[in-house]
Amino acid sequence: MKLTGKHTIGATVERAFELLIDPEVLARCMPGCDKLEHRADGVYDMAVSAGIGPVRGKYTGSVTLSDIQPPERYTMVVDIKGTTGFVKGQGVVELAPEGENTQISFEGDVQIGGPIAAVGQRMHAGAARLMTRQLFGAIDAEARASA
Amino acid sequence: MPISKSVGARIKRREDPRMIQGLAHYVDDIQLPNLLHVAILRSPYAHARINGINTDAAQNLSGVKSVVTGDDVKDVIGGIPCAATDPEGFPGIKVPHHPVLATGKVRFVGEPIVAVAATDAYIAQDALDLIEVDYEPLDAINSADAAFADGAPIIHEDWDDNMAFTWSIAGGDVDAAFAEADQVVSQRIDHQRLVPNPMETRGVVAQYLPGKDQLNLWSSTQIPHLLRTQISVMLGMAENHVRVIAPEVGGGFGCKLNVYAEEALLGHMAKYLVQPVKWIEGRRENFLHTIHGRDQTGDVELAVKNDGTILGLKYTVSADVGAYYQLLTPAIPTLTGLMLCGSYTFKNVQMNLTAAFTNKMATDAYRGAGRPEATYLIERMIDVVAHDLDLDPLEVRRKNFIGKDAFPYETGTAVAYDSGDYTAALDKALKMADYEALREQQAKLREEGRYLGIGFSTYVEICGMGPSAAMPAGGWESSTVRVDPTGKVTVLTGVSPHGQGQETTFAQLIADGLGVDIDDIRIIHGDTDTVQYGIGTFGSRATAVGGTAMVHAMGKVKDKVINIAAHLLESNPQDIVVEDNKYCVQGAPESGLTLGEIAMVAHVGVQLPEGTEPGLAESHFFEPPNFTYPFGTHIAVVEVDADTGEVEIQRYIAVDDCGNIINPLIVEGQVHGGIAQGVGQALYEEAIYDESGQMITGSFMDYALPKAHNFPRFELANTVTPSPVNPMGVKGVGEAGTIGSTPAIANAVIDALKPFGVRHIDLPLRPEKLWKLMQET
Repeated sequence: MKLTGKHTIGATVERAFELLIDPEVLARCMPGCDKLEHRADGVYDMAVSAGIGPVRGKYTGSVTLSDIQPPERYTMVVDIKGTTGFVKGQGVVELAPEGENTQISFEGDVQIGGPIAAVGQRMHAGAARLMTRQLFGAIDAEARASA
Repeated sequence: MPISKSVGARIKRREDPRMIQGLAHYVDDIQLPNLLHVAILRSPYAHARINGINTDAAQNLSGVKSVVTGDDVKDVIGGIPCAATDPEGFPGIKVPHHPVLATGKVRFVGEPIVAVAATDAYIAQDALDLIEVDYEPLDAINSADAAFADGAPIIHEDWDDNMAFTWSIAGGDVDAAFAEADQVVSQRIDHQRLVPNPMETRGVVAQYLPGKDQLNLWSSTQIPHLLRTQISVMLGMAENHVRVIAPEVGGGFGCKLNVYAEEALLGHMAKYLVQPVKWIEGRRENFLHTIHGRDQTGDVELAVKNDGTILGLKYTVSADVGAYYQLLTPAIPTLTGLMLCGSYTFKNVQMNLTAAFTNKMATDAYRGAGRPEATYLIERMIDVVAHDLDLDPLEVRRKNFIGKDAFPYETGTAVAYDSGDYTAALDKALKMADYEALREQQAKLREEGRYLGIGFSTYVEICGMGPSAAMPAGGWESSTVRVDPTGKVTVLTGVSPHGQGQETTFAQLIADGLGVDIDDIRIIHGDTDTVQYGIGTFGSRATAVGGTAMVHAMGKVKDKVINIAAHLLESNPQDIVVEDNKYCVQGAPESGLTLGEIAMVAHVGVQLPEGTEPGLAESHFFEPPNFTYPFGTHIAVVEVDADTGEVEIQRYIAVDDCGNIINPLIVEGQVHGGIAQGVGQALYEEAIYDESGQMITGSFMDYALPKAHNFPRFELANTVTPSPVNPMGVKGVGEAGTIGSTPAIANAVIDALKPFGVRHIDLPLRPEKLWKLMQET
């Protein structure tokens, strides 16, 4: 599944970038995030609770940030699995100034397997869009609150 | 309620009161002391190596009694059986070992890997969450084309390609037919993968009695005896120490005509834990790991004359059979081959099938099993011929019909149609439909920009399965009829009804045959410790084959009853008649004896004629001489909404000929359900695996089943052409509705879209597909 989107964050590019790679901020902002801890160079251990329709579950795994070019772009690889299946994704996040704000655009590819793949397939794209909107919306709120 | 003649009467099903009152007992209703509940960890990957399994945490969870992996059972539980693997029949067939739990590698999403038994179902499910499997994902194959592509990953590494087997059939002189043809009409035809979806999913309860070394296995199955044999082989137990019971079974449609991993696994666990175990399949598990149906794609060529005469047919097809075989996987497409000529006279026919292993669940028998493919193919092609030659599809049918005087009729595929009158069924259906008026209405509506379509299916199908010579695992059937001292009649039948109503129809036959009230008759089935060996219920065979076995056993009982009656009445057996449920000398009904009075004499044993054995019970094993061939005409009238592409079925007319009818109500019920499932294939259903081998239609949110509001009131009728194959003249009607309806709907929808130049559309005919076609032209 291809995943693309754009969001605006009410902060400078430098500040937005800081927020985006801050595990504490991400843990607060990511919907359903139970844990996000830095393990090693750019690798974070993650635990999330998420669900689509009737298939809800806990997922654990890792998020890896690489090719980090502050404050313009980085690559993110997500590899989590749980009892209701697995999610593997990778994508590029880019930041660009938009007046006094920052426009974030991302483009990625997500593979979903196991029980969650079998249920509500037509809702996957919508659910993913909803979750990214929630994530960037919350980061935007953090940015404006700390401004 | 004494009924002078039960057979032919619209008697309500005797099994229904218990079902609609919630008093029926299904597998999940079985409770045993100390029952453990089993949950199964299944592969989330379509294709992956298993580099390790860590079950420590699961084993330590409070309430967990046992965790079983493939390594634990690989030497104690044999492979899942397939009954159709003869390389003479299936040249080049590869028969991979099919373990009950995967070891080393998983080959489809849903494949069982670990089983957990715990004190309740929730703990068992929670324990699955604690199991860690180290998967190394491999590229997956989601179609036959992908399986045969260069560089395709190999699913079974004992071989160097994914070809599973081949099969072919040929009759007549195909080359000559094509040389003689004015035209060759070609079309690629797809039969999409379907999920059978019985209302009750599968389920197993197993109990081991160590004092008797006996395994009791309750399973939601269509074939208790075949299952017993296979379980005894898989577990290495003596067959007479294994008892299989099919309790109430909530539908099967072929998907329970099988032997599954869980049946052997639960049997093993009950034995080694010496504690009963239960597993009830969840709906999502059912989508992934109960057999699927269809999944053939092929190229059809018809050699035709310009007047619509069909000279020959070639079908080159690939079947996507999934990762492993289940019980009958390779046999299903052979039934397609046998029925390729349909109701038509051409005898030059050739089918070449190549089957591929893919990373999917196995295909196997689903209502119709091979024949819906044949019927859809030929009935759709008749309409394509009509389209290409600008003829009325009815005219093409009539021109090629086998005449009623031609029966028994040997087809180009070397099967012998038992009896038929295809024109009679068609004419009756046309009259009910008022065909001319429909065509006028269609023309008028088209002027208003509304798209009405009229579709035909003049099907013939093969059922009443056997004879044994043509079956992978026996085609005969058995029955015992016994009369208690008090005159109550018990029938033991080797078939295993699960919705077909034989507790009613068989009792009707006995009531008439033995002169006994229908309420005094009990039909017992599905318990291998009680019932003599039988084959089971599938292929619309239960009445044609199992009913015949019963009628013969009943005949033996009746002969004995008449002999005893003649002795008691000091008369001759040939002078004894049954009047008002009394055995009497013809012309002297006042001195007649009831079956109960005679049965008491038979059991007391004192007044019997000399040389007569006491007791009153007889058995019969019936081997049918041939299949039966029901037929009929279905007409669908649909309107396709130009704005939305949605199909509305406005009328559905079905004239089915299933030979003599024992209970019209039950025949209608079978036809109703059959039509609904066939329409499901035509309009809604499709099991889809994505490129990574994930099944993305694994719930009722994603896999559309037809619902009551999708249908008009069916207009049903019958013609009656008795079968000469059995003494009752019955043919079978369990699958006819499914086989007949899919092409009728497809032809109607495509007829509706004729103004858009549409010649063929692959199933299912969903609104977005039709809407797009209507926009393009």
